[in-house]
Formats: sequence, C-alpha cells, structure tokens
Amino acid sequence: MTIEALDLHKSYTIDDRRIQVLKDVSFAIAPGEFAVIQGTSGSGKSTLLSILSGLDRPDSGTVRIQQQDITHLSEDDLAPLRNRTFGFIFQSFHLVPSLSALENVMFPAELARTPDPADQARYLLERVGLGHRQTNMPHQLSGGEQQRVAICRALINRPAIIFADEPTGNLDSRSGQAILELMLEFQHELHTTLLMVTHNPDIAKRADTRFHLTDGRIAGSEA
Amino acid sequence: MHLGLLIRMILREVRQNRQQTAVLFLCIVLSVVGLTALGGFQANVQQAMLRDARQLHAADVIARSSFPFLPAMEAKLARYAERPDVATARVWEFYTVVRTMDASASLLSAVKVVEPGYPFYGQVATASGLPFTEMLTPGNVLVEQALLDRLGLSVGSRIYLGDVAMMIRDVVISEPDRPVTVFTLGPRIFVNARDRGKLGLITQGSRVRYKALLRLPEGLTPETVQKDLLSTADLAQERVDTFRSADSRLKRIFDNLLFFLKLVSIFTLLLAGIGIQSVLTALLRTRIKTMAAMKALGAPNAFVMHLYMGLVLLLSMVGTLCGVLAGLALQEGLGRLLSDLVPVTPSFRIVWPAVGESLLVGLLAVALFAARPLLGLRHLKPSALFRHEEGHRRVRLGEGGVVLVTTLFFVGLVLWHLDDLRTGAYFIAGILGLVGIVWAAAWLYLKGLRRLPTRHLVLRQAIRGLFRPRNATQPILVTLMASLTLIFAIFLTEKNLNATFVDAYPEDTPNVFFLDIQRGQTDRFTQTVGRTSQFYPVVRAKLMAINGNAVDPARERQRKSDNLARPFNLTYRHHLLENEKIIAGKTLFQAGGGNFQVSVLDRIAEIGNIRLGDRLRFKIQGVPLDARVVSIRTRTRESMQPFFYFVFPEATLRQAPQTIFTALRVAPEAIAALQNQVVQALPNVTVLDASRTIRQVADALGRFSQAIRFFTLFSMAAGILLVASSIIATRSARIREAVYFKILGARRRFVLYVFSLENALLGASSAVGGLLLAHLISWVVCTRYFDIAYKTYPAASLSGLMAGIAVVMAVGLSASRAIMRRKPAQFLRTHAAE
Ligand SMILES: Nc1ncnc2c1ncn2[C@@H]1O[C@H](COP(=O)(O)OP(=O)(O)OP(=O)(O)O)[C@@H](O)[C@H]1O
Ligand SMILES: [Mg+2]
Repeated sequence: MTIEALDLHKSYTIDDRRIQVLKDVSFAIAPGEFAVIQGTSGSGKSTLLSILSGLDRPDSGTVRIQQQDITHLSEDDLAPLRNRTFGFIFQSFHLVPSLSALENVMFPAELARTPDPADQARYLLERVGLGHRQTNMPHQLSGGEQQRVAICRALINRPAIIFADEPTGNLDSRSGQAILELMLEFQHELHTTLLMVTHNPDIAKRADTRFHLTDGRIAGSEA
Repeated sequence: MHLGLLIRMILREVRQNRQQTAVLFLCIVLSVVGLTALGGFQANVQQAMLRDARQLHAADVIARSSFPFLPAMEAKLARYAERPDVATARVWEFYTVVRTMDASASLLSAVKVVEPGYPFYGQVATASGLPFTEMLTPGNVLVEQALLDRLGLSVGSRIYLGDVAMMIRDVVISEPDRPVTVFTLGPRIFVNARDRGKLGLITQGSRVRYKALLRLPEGLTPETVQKDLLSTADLAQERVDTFRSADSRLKRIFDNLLFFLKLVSIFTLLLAGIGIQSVLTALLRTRIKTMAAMKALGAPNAFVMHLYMGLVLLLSMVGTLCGVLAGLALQEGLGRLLSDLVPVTPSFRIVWPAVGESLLVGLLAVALFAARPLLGLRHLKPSALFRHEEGHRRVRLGEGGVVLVTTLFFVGLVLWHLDDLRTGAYFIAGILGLVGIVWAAAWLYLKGLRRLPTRHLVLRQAIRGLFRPRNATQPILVTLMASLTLIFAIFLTEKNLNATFVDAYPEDTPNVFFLDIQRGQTDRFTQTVGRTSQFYPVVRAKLMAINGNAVDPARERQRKSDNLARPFNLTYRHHLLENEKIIAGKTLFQAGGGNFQVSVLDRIAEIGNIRLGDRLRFKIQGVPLDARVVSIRTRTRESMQPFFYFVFPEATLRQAPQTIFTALRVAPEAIAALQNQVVQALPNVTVLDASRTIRQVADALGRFSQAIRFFTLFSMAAGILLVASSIIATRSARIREAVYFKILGARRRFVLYVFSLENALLGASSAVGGLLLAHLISWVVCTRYFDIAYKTYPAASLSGLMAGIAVVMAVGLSASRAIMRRKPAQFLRTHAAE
C-alpha cells in the first residue's frame, strides 16, 4: 500500500512561541517497502510518524494511503484503518496492562470480528517464542518479551502498513537485533510496508529507503 | 522549613488536582453536616423542653393513673391539699362525642375537666383575651376553634356533652400542657370540674386519665414530694412525675428518630472517610515519582510529608468549616420540618458545644482517614523513581494500628451518641455483620466474575477493567453495597409501614371504633347502627408479675417497643379470630384446664419473654387474677383489625368489670350521621373515627421519613463521591486503556461501552446485593420489630435497582468524560518514557 505525504506542515505553540516542527514535508513510500526515518532527537520523527498513521493531524498538507486522504477523517472513520490496515509498534511497547499476553494479541482481531482470534494469536506467540507465556500479564514480561507481544499484536490482522517508532530503543542490542529480525521476517512473509523511526545505523542500513529529517524538512532519501 | 515555599506548593497542588481536591473537600464537608445539624437541633429542643418543662406539665408534680386513684394515694393527696402552701388541682381527660343542639352534627372531642387553679404554670390563652378561670364557669365550656369550624358553631352556641347542654363561652388558642400528647383524636373542650358529676359520662370502665397537679412552695422540692407519693403508690397503675422527670411518649419517639438520624450520619461519616482515604491515596500515587525525585534532589523527608499534611490540613479546616455552616442551615430546616411534632418550639440558636464537637469529630475523622496514605509517604525512597507503577504494597504494622484506632473511633462515636448501651451494641454488631456479609459477598462475586469465561469482547474488557491494578473494586463494591443496602432498607421499611398503617385499608377493614359500650347496651347498639357486628368484651387490667417476678414499671417505660407496665385490655372468647393461629400449645385453652388459663399473642410474649406454662398475675381494679399460659397465638396478617394480647376463657372474666368494644366499616360520608345516632342513643359510647387518626399518623410518618430520607441522601452522596474517587484513582490507567483501544482500532463507542459496562457491572452488583440485603433487613424489622406483614414491592424494588445503577453509571460517565477526550498522540508523547 502506498503512503504519500504532500506538503506536510506541523507547528506547536508554547507560551506564544511557535515551534515549526515539520515544514513542507513530501515523499512517497511504495508498497512492501522497508523505509526508515532518521534524524536527531527533537527533529520531528515521532511527530511525522503519528501524522502519517492518523494518530495526529498536520496543520496543512495531505497524507494519502492508497490514494485516500486520511487527514480529514474523523476518529471513528480512522478506527477501521488503524484496526485492519495499520499496525503499531512503539519504543515503550504500550501493551494494555489489564490484559494477558494472549489477550493483547487477540484484541485487534476481536475488534475486527475475525473468527478464532485465539488460535491465530497463539500461533503468532508460538512463532515469536512466547508460546509458554500466553497467560502472563505485561508486567510479568521482560522488555524484549513485551515487544514481541506487541509485534504479534500489530500483525494479527495482517496489516498493509506497520508503523514502528524506535521499536528497539528500549532494548539491549541483542534483543533489539532479534526484534528486528522478527519484524523483517514477517514483513517479507506478508508483503507489508514497514515504516520505522530509528537511531540505529545498523538497522537503517538494511532499509530499502532512508529519509533524513533535519530542521523539519526531509533532507534526502536514498534507495 | 521555608513556609512560603510550602504554601506556594500546596496551592499549586490544589490547582493542579482540581478534581481530586474537590472530591476530597466534598467528602470532608459531608462528614460533618449531619452530625452538626442533629447535635444543634437536639440541644435546642432539649433546652427548650427544660425551659418549658414546668409549663409543659403545668405543675411541679403530677400524679396520674388510668383508674381512679387508690385510697392510699387519695389520702396522701388530701394531706398535701390541706397544706396552705401547696396548691392542688385535679384534671380528668377523656374522649367523648359532642353534638349540636339540633343533632345535625357531632364530633369526637377531647374533654379536659379541670379544677380551679389549673394551670399552675403557663396560661390557657383565650380568644377574648380574658382570663381562663373567669371564662370557665360552671355550665360553660371553652373549645378549640376547630370544634366550632367542624360543627358550624360560634361562641355563644350551645352543645350537648353527653345529654347535658353547655354554652360555648370562648375559644381556646393554646394550653400549656397540650403539646405533650402525641396524637389527638379531636379538638379540645374545657369543662369546669363542678360540672363533672352532672355530665354522668365518667363511668367506671371508660377511658379516663386521672391526674392530680401539685404546685409546691419554694422550700419543698418536687423530688421529695414525688418520693413521698410514690412510697404508697400502686406502681402497677399509678405514676408520679416531677416536671423534670416527666417524659412524653412523643419525646421518646422523637429521641428515637434523632438517634436513628445520628446513626445514619455516622454511617455517612464512615463513607466519607473512606472516600477521603481513597482520593488521597490516588492523589499521592500520581505524585510518587515527583516526590521520589524531590527526595533524590535532597529535599528532606519532612518536606514531602509537610507538603501533603499541609494540603490535608488546609482542606480539612475549610471543609469542616463549610460542613458546619451547611449543618447549621440544615438544623434550621430540620426545626421547620419537625416543629409541629416537637412539643416545644425551639428557637434557632447556634449551640457552640455541638458545633465544637462536630468540628472536632470532623477533624479527627479526616486525620484518621488521611493517616494511612500520609504515613505511607514515610517509607518512600528515591528508588521509587525506577520502580514500575504496578506491583504490590505490603501492609505495614503502623497502618494496621491506624485501622484499629479508626474502628475504635467509630465504636466510641456510636456509644457517645447513645444513651442505651444495648442498642449501641446491636447497632455496632449489625454494622459489622452487614459489612462482613457484604465483604464476603463482594469477594465471592468478584472471584466468580474473574473466572467467568466470556467471549463477548466488551463484557470481557469491562470485567477486566474491574480488576485493573489498584482499582480498589472490592472496597468500592462493599461501601456502595452497604450504603445502598441502608437506603433501600429504609425505603422498603417505610413503604411497608405506610402500606400497613396508611394506604392498605382493605374494603372490609373497620374504620370506626366504638368503645365503652356497656354490657346491657349491645342490643340497643345493634338496633341503632342497623347491623350486626362482633362484640369484644374488654376488661382493663395490669400485668403484675410473670412467674412471680414483679413487672417493674420504671424499667418497662425504658423500652422502645410496647411495655408490660401499661394497662392491658383483656378479653374472653373460645375461638380464634379469622386472622389468628396458634403457634405454641395445641388449642386455645385446655379442656378441663379450669378457668385460670390464658392465651397470649406472640408479640407480647416476645416482649415479656413469656413461654408456654408461665404464670401471669394480673390485677383488675385491685383484684388479682392468676393464670397459666396455655397457648401462644400469632396473627397471620397484620391490619387495622382489633386484636388482644391476652384472651381468657369466658368463665374467668364474665363477672369482671368490663366494657364492650366493636368496630364497623362505614362509608366515610355516613360516619358523621352514624356517630350522631349512636351518641344520642348511648351517650357513654366513645366513637372513634379512625380514618382521621390514620391521616395524622400518616402525616407524622411522612415527616419522619422525609427527615430520614434527607439524611440517607447524605450517605448516598458519600457513596457517589466514592465512585467518583475510584474513577479518579484509576484515571491514568483508564486513559491508558482508552488510548490503546483507539490505537488498536476501536471506535469511541467501544471505549464508551467498555467503561459504561464496567460502571454498570459495579452499580448492578452493588444494587442487586444491596437490594437483597435490604429486603432481608426490612423483612426482619417489619416482622420482628413492627410486627407487620411484609410485602416485597417488586416494581418499586426494580425502579430502586435501576436508579442505583443509573446513578453509579452517570457518575462514572461524567468522571470518565475527560478521559475519553484524550488524543492518542498526546498521550503517547507524555508516556513514551515509561
Ligand atoms: N504536543 C507538543 N507540544 C509542544 N511541542 C511539541 C509537542 N509535540 C512535539 N513537540 C515538539 O516537537 C519537536 C519534535 O518532537 P518529536 O517527538 O517528533 O521528536 P523526535 O524526532 O521524535 O525526537 P526523539 O528522537 O527524541 O524521539 C520537539 O521539539 C518537541 O518538543
Ligand atoms: Mg520520537
């Protein structure tokens, strides 16, 4: 699924001071591509990712997902998109604390009313090596384990696009590596578009496309 | 310690946590409102009563009896009457029907025959303004305006009292000792004592109250005279009171009401205290990281403690002050609502000791409930910075101590507010039992719910929500259920009382009672009313002893229920009434058991702890009568039908002095005419139009329950604050869930459903549990205490249930609104570091 950004602008006003975070950002990502957004801290990477994924709105500009403009969709219209088309993976995992590992994974499938959500969730958990931790609550899992659960949760509805904001940022390099391998494995298998924010040059190296954010502008993209 | 900095920080905390501070503040206000109002009101009434006590009884010493005074008493009274410095006056009170001269109208009236000198204190105010004694000359009567209105007469008209014509000389506006009587069945008529013989109405056996009033000189204390008179009095039927000791029945009802309201207020205080604790705990929890950081930066332990102690202190001072002010307003309202029912008109006055007491109680309660969360701060270590939010706290020894002190505080408070240790013990045991049962029920319920396998997503999420870490679902469920139990129980009991005494008036239930029919008058009576009716012989008697143990009148009068020392109406018959059945013993009487047997109604058997085979000693106008209990009866349904505690075989009482009682169902519009006919034919018969009494009772009951309902509203409010506080306590967890649900593709509606269903589950389970318990409690209260039939009122119960659920849901929803509005991106930013 294609992601297109056209003239995105975003600014924040704090105490009468305007901070221009994104200026005139435009680019496109082809279906099935693995794209990486890089940039210094505070350069606006997370802001861009949340605008592209419909979690936030730009001040102006358009985001098109498969030719559909999503910047003017209401929260409720965005819901099915987030549920079925997008998958999210965050640096700090963000698992629902009151749900077990299995229930966290099942949840998007249940919302989508997929038949047998538990079977699929179990399958995914087995694949990431957490078959024996299904009933554990998030706080009983390590960071790497939590992130693996989050990956399963992002994948259960076979999304066309996965947005990942520094998914390995909270993990040591070995667990980070494992997480990356998992994500890439699934990406190949499902032909998903993967858009990832990362500071890690090793990860960036493996991407099909790299974007650099500097001063709120896309400085360059390399294939 | 830099005070300025501390104050600035306290104010900043208040500003940053408006919702929490507001709930905390309201809890503190609620905790003192009720007790302040009641304390002040009661003190005012008591003071007014004491101030007016002499006037309320119109004398220093009052001797009274339901029978003519016995010779010993007469002799004593005569001796006092001879003393030049003592004044005495006799008073006879009874009900009789008066008729207009043309017999077109008649009315049951409360006759008061008085000797000159009455009243020794206070005044009988007349409409003309002329002195009472000058107006009340023989042949004349003074009446209340109501009598003139109801009979269509005016001053100067003549009326028949029995068969004697009297002239209405003036209208009585007020009499000093009138207010101590509870319900009056008719307007007052004053008659000069010299007309007493002429009236011929006061025959033996009719229900006359005999009184002797004494006014004493300076040097003679009422207590001395009381003691002297009591030394020869027959305690079974004669009472002697001083103006200080005399205690009206109304005052007792009134004291009971106030006591009950106080218990409700204490319950409210408890709920509010729990609210205070939970909000404060939640507030401090959100601050743990900040506080740990402050400590890590080198702020001394005391600083953090002082900050929050200062916050609590500030809030509790402002809160209790506002609560006391609101309480004073309520005190005024209470005075207005109950003014007609209180024998005196208390002037509104701020009672400083009562105000001080509630301030103290409020501050103490806040201190106790705030202690637990605040003490927890002592153990806070900078390392909390690195710990996760979840995880379990250990209960520390010091906190156990706080719980113990809090419990003792409440036990002490209950005991302090009550004069009767037994009731207090019952109340405390009842509350503990209730909380225990509710706690166990909530525990079982939650355990079951947690295990419930459910495929429905919204329902499962809602149930999960209940088990959110630190959700305190169990305590909330317990307090909600307990307060709903209380509210429902009051509601149901009141409904049942109303049904029995007010509404439920089945078609065939008698509404007119005829008292004091003489033995030879039954045929004449039947002729006059034109139909047959069941005649019940009535023998007035006193219960002297059970199994040789004398009935102690002084102790009996302490009882809140019926007492054994009052005169009883005995009857004789050999059959059971249609609504009676025997629960102990085989038959009403034992064949061949002789005349000295008696059948007892279960209600009085319970009061007197009377069992089968017990020996009862009665005295009928001085003549003793011994009988053995051979059966115990119960009434299959409670109603306005006449009933008798003690039934004898006919042979036992046939010769005893007696009157006959009967009851009829008469169409309301025909009552007046029938009354006239009966009184013309049989002037000694007292006709009681019960429909009016029922209305009076209903009115009083209505006011009482209004007061009660108002006070239960406070505990309801405390319960609601508790729900709000729990939602505030789990705010961050809820926001987190709402955001995650949205990110994963849930619509707003889904989040709304989950939260609403969670609150609905909480509301429904506490309401259902509360309702069931309330039914149990009010069933016990109705059948055991009031001895009335119990109805379940399914429709009303259901609406109560719905209302309970709706309130919990509404509060939950309004508290969740802010949570729902959170935008995902915003949340993820601020919580990225966790
Ligand atoms: N809600 C907001 N209000 C004010 N300023 C904001 C807000 N959100 C983002 N910013 C500012 O926008 C800029 C970009 O933030 P963003 O989180 O996108 O950076 P980032 O590139 O993801 O940084 P990092 O690599 O540290 O995660 C920052 O300067 C931040 O302070
Ligand atoms: Mg970022």
